[in-house]
Amino acid sequence: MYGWAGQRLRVDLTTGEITKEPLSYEYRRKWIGGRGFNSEVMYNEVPANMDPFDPRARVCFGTGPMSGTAAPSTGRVTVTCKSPLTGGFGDSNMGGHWGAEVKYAGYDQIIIQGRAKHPVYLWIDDDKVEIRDARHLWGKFPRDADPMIKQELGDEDIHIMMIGPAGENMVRFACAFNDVWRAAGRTGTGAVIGSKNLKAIATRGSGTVKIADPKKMMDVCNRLRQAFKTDPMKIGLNMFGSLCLINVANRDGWFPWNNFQFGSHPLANNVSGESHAETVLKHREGCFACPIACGRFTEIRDGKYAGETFGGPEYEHAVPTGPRCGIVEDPNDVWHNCRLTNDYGLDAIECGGAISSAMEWFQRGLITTKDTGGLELTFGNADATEKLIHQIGQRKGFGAILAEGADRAADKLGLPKEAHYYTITTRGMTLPGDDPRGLGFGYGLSFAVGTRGGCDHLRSLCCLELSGALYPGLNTKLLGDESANKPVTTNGKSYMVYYEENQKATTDCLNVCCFTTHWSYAVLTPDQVEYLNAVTGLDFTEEEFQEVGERVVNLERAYWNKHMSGAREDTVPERFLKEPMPENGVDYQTNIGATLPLNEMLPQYYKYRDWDSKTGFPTERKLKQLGLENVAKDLAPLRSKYLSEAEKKNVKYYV
Amino acid sequence: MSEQKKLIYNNEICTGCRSCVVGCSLYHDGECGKVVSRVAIVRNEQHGESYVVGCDGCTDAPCAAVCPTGACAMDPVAGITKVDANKCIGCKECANACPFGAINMHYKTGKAFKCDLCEGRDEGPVCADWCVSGAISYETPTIAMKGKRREKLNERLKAAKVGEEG
Amino acid sequence: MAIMNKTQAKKLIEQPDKMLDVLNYLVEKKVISADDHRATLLKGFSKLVAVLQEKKVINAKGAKAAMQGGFASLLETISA
Repeated sequence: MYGWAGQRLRVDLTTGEITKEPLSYEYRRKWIGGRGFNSEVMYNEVPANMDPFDPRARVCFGTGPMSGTAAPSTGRVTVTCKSPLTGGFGDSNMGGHWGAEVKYAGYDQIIIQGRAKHPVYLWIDDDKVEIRDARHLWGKFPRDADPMIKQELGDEDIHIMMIGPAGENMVRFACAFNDVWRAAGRTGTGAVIGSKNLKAIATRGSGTVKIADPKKMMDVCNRLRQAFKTDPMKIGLNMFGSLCLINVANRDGWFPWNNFQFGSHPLANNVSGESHAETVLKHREGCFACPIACGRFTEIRDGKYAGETFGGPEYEHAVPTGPRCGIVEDPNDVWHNCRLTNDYGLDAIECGGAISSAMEWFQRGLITTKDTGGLELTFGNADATEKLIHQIGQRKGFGAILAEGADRAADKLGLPKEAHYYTITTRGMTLPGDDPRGLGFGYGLSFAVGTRGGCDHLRSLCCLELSGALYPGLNTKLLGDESANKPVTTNGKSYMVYYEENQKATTDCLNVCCFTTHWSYAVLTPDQVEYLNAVTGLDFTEEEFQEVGERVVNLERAYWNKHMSGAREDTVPERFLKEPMPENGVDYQTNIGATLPLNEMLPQYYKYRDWDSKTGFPTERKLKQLGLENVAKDLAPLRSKYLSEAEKKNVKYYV
Repeated sequence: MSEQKKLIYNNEICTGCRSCVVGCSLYHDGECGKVVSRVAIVRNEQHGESYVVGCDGCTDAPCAAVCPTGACAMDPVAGITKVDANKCIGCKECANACPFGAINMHYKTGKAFKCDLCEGRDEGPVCADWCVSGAISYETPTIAMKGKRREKLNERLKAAKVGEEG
Repeated sequence: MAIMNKTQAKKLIEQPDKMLDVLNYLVEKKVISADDHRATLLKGFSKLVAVLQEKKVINAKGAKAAMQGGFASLLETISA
C-alpha cells in the first residue's frame, strides 16, 4: 500500500487487549488520516455525556499518508480526546519525529482506551506491541524518563510519546510530548492519557513508506525545498524561531500584556527571537523532514537559573507565563517558566492564562492572599508565577484550584460572574498570545467558531492576514481581495476563515506541518494535492482535498452541538468586543482604539458554512453534502432543544 | 586532476531534521525511511544534540581494505568508495570496519549499501542540497577548511577581546 | 459581457466580504452552475476567474486584470 500503513492499533488498557484493525480504501479516502481519523473515532466512540476521564473514553494518536515521507515537514501527530478542560471536542498537534516512527512501525493511528491497574507504558516495536510496567517512571519529568526508557529497552534511537507529572495528576490542561520537548499543548490530552495510567508510548519503526510515483515525488519535494531556501517566512522562523513574532506583535498591538489589558509593552524586545538568539540560543532544531527548522534549544547562561536547558520556547510558550503575567524585564524568568511547563507537561497557554486571570482577579480585589495561600499575585511577580507553576503541576495549594482551568477555578472559589470576564476564554479554553484587536479580525472570527473550544489560532491559522503581505498577490488569488492581508480590517475575512479552516483541517489529516502552508505559503493547496497523489497513487483534486477538511470541521462542530454548544457560544471574550485597545508607551503601536467587530463577520461566516444562524448547527443539507447522514440524524432532534435551552440558561463557560 | 568534492559535516549546526535521511532514501530507493538511507542522524533529545553520520570519503578507506570480494572499492573519478551489489556477499566486514558507522546492510537484499554522492544528480548530493542549516555541505576539503580556519580565528579574536575588556 | 449594472457592482465592491454574494448572484443569473459555485468556494477566487474566462464572460485581458485587481477589477469588467 502506498502512503498509508493501512491499519490502526487499538490498545485496551483495562483488558490488555491489543488489536490491529485494517483501514478500508473508502475510509482512507473519506478521512485521509491524522485529525480526520481521530475526529471520526471521537464522534462515533465517545458519546456526548461521557466524562473525559471515564476509562471508556478514547485518546487517539493520528498520523497521515504523508507522515514519514520526504515532503516538507512530515513528522506531526494529532492527539485527540474529549477535553477535560472544555468538556467538548479536543485535540492538539505535536511536531518532532515520533509521527514518522509510528508510521515506520506500521500504523496510521493508535487508539488507547480503558485504564491500566497501575502506571504502564506501551512499547511498539514494529508489529510487536507490549504493555510494560511504568511505576518507576511515574512522577518523572520527560527529560528524565525518556533516557530511562531508552536504556531499559536497549535502544537510544527510539522515539517516545510521554506525559509529565501534570498529566499523571490529571491537571485539566496537561499536555503530551514526544522526543521530550515537542508538545501537543492544548485541550488537556495529557490529563486523559494520565487518567488511563499511561506514561508513555515508546516506538521503534524499521519499515518504510512506499511511494506510488517516486520520480514525481522527488520532483515536487525538490521544487518545494528549493523554494523554501529563499522563502521570507522560513528565513525569519529559522533565524529567530516563532519568537520572531514578538516585535511584530508589539508593533501591531497584539502582544498580550497583563492578561490582554494592553497590546504592547516598551520592553517586549527582551523576549523576542532576536534577543533570544543573541543570549540563550544553544541550537536550532527541526522536526522530521522540515525545511524550516524553527525549533529552539535554550540554555540559560546567567542569573539564578544559569545552567538550565530545555527544548523551546515557542512564541505561544513564552508569552503566557511571561508577558501575559506582566513578566518581561528579566527574560530568564520567562525562559525558566517555559522549562517548568515542559517539565511538568502543562499547556503553557492555559497555565499562563489561569495565572494571569488570577492576577487580574487579584488586581481587581476579587481574590486576596487569603485565597492564594499567601502568594502576592500582582502582575510582574515572577517569583509568585514560578511558585504557582510548581503548584499547578503538583496540584497543590492554590495551584490545585487553578489546575481546573480558570473558569472552573472561578466557580470553585465562588467568585462573582464578573470573574469570567477576566478568564479570556471561549467554550472554556483560553486565548493564545494573539489579541484579536491586533491579530486580527480574521483570527478573532476563528476564535469564536473554532472547533476545539474557540480562542484558538490553530483552527484557521489564517496567516493570510499575518504573513500574507509577504506573498504579494496571494490574497487576491485566493480571496479576490489583496486588502484582506491587513489584520485590522473585515475585508474578505469571513471567506478567509472559511477557506483557511478547511485547508488547515486537511493539512492536519495529511499530518504535515501547517507552518509550510500557513505562515510560510511556500506550499499551496495545489502543491499538497500533487505530493499527496504522488505518494498514494490516487487522483485527489483540489476540491476533494478542501472538502475533506470541510467534512472534518463539520463533524467536530456537530460534536459540540451534541453538547448543546452552538451559536450562542460563538463569541470571543468581551474584553475584545468592548474595550478599545489602549496605549502602553509604545508610540508605534498601530491599532490604538480597535475593538473586534465580530458581528460584522459572523453572520456571513455562517452562510459560507451553511450553518443555521439561530442554532449554529450545520444544516441537514450541508451534512448530507459531506456524506455525514448519520450526523444529520443525530442533530435533528437537538436543534429545537438547543434553542429552548439557549433561551433559558446563562452562557455556559464549559460543558 | 582537480580536488574532488566531499560531504563535509558540521554537527554544531545540525538541526536534527532528517531531511537528508528522508531525501536520500527517496532518491536512491524510491521509498521513504531511515532504514534505507545512507546517512543517519543521531540525537540526544534531552540535550538537543544532533550528529550527522555519513560517509567521510576516506582516501585509504577501511571499508574497501577489508572487502573480500572487491565489491566495496574506491571509484577514483567520484572520489568515494562504492559497493557493487552484484559482487557483495553481505559479510558485513565493511560495516564493521567503518570508523563512523556509515555503512549498513539493506533490509531487502542483506547486502551493504553506502553513500555514492548521488552520482548523476545535477544539483549534487540530496543531503547537502536539502540540508536546512548547511550542516552537510558538498565542497572540496580545501574550501571547507578555509571556512573552518576563519571561523576558529574569529572565535579566538572574540575571546581575546572579551579578555581585554574583562 | 455585462452581467450586472454599475450600481450593483458598486454595492458589491463596497461590501467587506464579497465572495459568497457574487457567487450567489452569478448562479441566480445562470452565468455559472451550482457546481462552479461549489468549486469556487472550495478553491478560491482564481477558480472563479478561470470559470468566467472558460465561459467567455471575460477575455484573457479581463482575467489577467482580475488576478491583479481582485473583485474590484472583476466586477468592473462584468458590469455596464
